[in-house]
Amino acid sequence: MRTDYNCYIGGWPFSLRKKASLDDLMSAHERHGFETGLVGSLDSVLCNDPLEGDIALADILRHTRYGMSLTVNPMLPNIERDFAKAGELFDYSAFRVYPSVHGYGFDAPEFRNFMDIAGETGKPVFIMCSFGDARLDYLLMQRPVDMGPLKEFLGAEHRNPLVLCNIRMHEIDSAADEIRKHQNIYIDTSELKHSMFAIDDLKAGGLAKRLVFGSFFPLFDFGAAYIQLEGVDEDLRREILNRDVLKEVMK
Amino acid sequence: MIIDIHAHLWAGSYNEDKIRIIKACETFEINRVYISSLLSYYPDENEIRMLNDLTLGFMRERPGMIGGFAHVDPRHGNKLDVIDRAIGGGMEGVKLWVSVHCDDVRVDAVAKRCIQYNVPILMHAFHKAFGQLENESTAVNIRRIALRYPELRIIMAHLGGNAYHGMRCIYDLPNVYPDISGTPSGRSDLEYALDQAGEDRILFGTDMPMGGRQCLGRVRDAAITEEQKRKILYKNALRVLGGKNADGL
Repeated sequence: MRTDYNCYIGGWPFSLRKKASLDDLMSAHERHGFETGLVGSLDSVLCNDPLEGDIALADILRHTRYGMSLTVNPMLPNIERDFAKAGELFDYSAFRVYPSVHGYGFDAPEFRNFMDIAGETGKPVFIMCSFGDARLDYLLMQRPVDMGPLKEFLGAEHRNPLVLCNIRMHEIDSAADEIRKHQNIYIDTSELKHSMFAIDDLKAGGLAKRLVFGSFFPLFDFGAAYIQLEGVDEDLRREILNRDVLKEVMK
Repeated sequence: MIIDIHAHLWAGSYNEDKIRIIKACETFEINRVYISSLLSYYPDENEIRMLNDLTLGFMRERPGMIGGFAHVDPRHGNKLDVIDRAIGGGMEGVKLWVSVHCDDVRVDAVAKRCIQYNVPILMHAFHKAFGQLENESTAVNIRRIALRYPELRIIMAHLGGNAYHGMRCIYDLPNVYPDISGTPSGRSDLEYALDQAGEDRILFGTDMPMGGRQCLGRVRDAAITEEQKRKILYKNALRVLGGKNADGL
């Protein structure tokens, strides 16, 4: 089943996202043969209480074939309340964290506390290594992820599958040893655009087996992500699009 | 048909770059790519000559596929000779990068020479929230030079980096042609650019070998008409190039 692991619905306050509803996402997916996706709430990313946006997202996704990621800002106080409340109100398949937007490092005690909680669930953690091109930010400035602490974090043992989203080629190169060493670390395809033949390059580096498809819809063009797979040999392409390691987390 | 108006050879990796560009053209059915060669932010005259020789060499190797833009540094005393040599060698435009702002008075002579040759200038422009280079132009600089030389055809690179900053500066300037090259690929940016500048000025470019396929993906998937796509992918390029080489495509 073709799965998009990095897609969103909702509003983004800094530029109007036209056609960013669930119907629009489904339409983009159907156009490219995708059956499902793991959807995050764009609204939640900047909400003071991310759970507000996630509750609204859960209502939208209910009775659809789409899974949902829970937006987590570990710097907020008492996030345990959010997990308890989310568990009562809706099903979610994974956690999604935004360190560059929420402004913390991988060595922050709050983040480690979150990882302990997440570890109990076994649900995958999607780590947003960037959230769009930080050079284009205006009212909100991202703090780019520091690769040193990220590599240290990846080098440790974690119980959850970890998916590095929106990670760029030079960052993948920098953390390649840690990624190769741990079979539970994956990479999404949404920021591979800095190399013309990124998937070939990752294959040569022994990392293609770790790729999962992510579009970063609606902040990126779906087609701009999907075209990364063009010209890739059919077996690898099928593997990336249908990666079943994570399939178990989908509803 | 597809014309890529904005791609590069990097002097440090030019052999590998050439292979990747040719492979990209074959994979994505790009008919013609316009190359300029780059190395340092502040090149000297020898470096500029070496860079333009790389471009000319690639043009000669692949005459149908590769066109050239001359890398010109407006600080240099020989800048007009550089343009004369490049145009004489078959290049079809000039590329300005980041050694001076594109509205610097030292660009005036370059602009006048390009008007004389009836060739466009591809001007780097990128508005950044951080990391802006000292002399890196934004669309604000593009607007100033475009108003100074309304008869000069200007290609504004990367939609100005941030399309929402770039397009507000040049939406009303018919001599400025924004290209969509580069890694910023925000969804709706292309449609926004079309809303602002109309369908007759937006150009397809990739910024190869630094990525580039996403630029084609965004055109393919854009919520625009097939004729608008054709204009972006090649028709507008033919116009900005002054109709040169149109017969061969």
